[in-house]
Amino acid sequence: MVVEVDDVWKRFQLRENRASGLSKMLNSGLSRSGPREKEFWALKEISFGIEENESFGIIGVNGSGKSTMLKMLTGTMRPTRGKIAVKGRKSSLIELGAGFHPDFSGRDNVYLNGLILGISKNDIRRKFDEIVAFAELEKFIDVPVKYYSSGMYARLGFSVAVAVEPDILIIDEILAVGDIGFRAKCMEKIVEMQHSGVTVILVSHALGDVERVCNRAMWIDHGQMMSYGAAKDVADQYARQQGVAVPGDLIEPTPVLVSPTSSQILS
Amino acid sequence: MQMEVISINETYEHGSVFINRDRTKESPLARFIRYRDLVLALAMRDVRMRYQLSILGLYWALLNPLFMALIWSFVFKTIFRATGMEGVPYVVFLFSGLTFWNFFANSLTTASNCLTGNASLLSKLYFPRVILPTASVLARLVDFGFSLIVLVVFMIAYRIMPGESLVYLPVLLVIQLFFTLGMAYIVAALNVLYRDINQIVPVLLLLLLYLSPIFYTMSQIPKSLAMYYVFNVVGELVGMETGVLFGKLAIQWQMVGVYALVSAAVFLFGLFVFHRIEPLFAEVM
Repeated sequence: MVVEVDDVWKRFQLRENRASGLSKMLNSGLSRSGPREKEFWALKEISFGIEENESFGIIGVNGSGKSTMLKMLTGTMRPTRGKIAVKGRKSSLIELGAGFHPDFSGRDNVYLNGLILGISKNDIRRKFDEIVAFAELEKFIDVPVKYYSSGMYARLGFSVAVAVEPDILIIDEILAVGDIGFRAKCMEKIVEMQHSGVTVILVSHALGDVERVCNRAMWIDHGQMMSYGAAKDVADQYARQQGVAVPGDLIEPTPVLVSPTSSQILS
Repeated sequence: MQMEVISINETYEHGSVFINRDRTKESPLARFIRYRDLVLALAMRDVRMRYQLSILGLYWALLNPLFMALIWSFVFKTIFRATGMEGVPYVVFLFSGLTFWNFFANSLTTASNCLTGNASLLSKLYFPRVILPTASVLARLVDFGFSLIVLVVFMIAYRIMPGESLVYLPVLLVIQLFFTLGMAYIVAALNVLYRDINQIVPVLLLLLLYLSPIFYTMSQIPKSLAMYYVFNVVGELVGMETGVLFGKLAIQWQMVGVYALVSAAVFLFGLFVFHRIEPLFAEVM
């Protein structure tokens, strides 16, 4: 198994404003005992596994805990309880170009981002032309990235992230950025990587993408797993609950209203 | 299927994340080299960032301490009639102290913002977060190098010969480096939790600056107060560094040994504090 998530729980402390705790205390003449804290479980009892050569989708409404799950898979956040095992090199397409510094050239940012994502300086040097070519930025690679259009920015971010040759590619709503041409190119690259054995973990609202890319999927709502299984089935179930017609359904589905919850602030 | 867990460098207290990198064939050495390259790249970026959009660029690394030395030299020598170190022009004495001091002070100022200022970098992927404050300190070490060049030029111009004890200077600098790193880890991590840190750090640094033998020498401190100065580790180090540079100080190696141990302890304590707070970074920012 490439990824194993075993009974993972994640708790957040909802602080009214943690930094202002002391100054508030001072203002109110030390009358308060301290900042009040409320607990919030963003994820409860999540368990799933991803086998080799398999791709996995995570679907759910905003604030359901999808991004929290992804952050724990990338390792930037740790579970409160439970265990996550990830095998192999990861690369993430979370916020394409996150960590780019606007004042520096595309070239400098490629080197720094590559090092963060886990390839050595020599490997970056070797692959540099390939990265630039994929992003179609040959002419602009020595221009500070602050002058890039958002499309150029995303292209370079994507290009570096896939050049890492990851075993696991973690994608968060990435396909919302860029124009149709770029989108298609990204999808093509993702599928190509899948064929070469890369595990893709995709978080998306676009059920079409999930069905297309993933074999299996999980639907989470309010931090709890609603269903888990073949991507097509999970996506259909989710769509029905959201009140979207699923092709093949005989009866008109009853729309279900999903009320916004407090969890949305933590999406 | 049982997962084989090779490296458990990312095991945490309650929940845990096991990362097994065997498929990437990255040896510990290769990873060390990559992290070293990342530290250096971040440090260089920091240095360039500081000067990139200014006309004088890197010359500011020289001009800044020079201006400060000239201003303070006017106030303290011309107005207050400070004498500084015998046989050394006051402005050179002051510039020397500031050069060593600035490495410490500027490192802490930079480090206190290094995590909060790089939030987007932290969201990307897991890499040892301690790399960021380390890079901040190394960036200021580069500034220090430039300042040191000016200091040497000063010494040549004024024909000041360093004594034999100059051999201690590299040792003292290494001690100062580890002390600075330890303190940098602490302020960087605490500033994530409480932004009060980057308000208080400059104030404390100013206090410490005046409590260090930079505007005056150790011998000018009243005897009744001198005993307390040993607690100002960085002040003592700066005093010794200036002393050995100008060949005016017979070094007591026992003292150097004590400060080496203190620095090592501060460094380890800093690492400990940093790693304790690290799990909260992603949640608080």
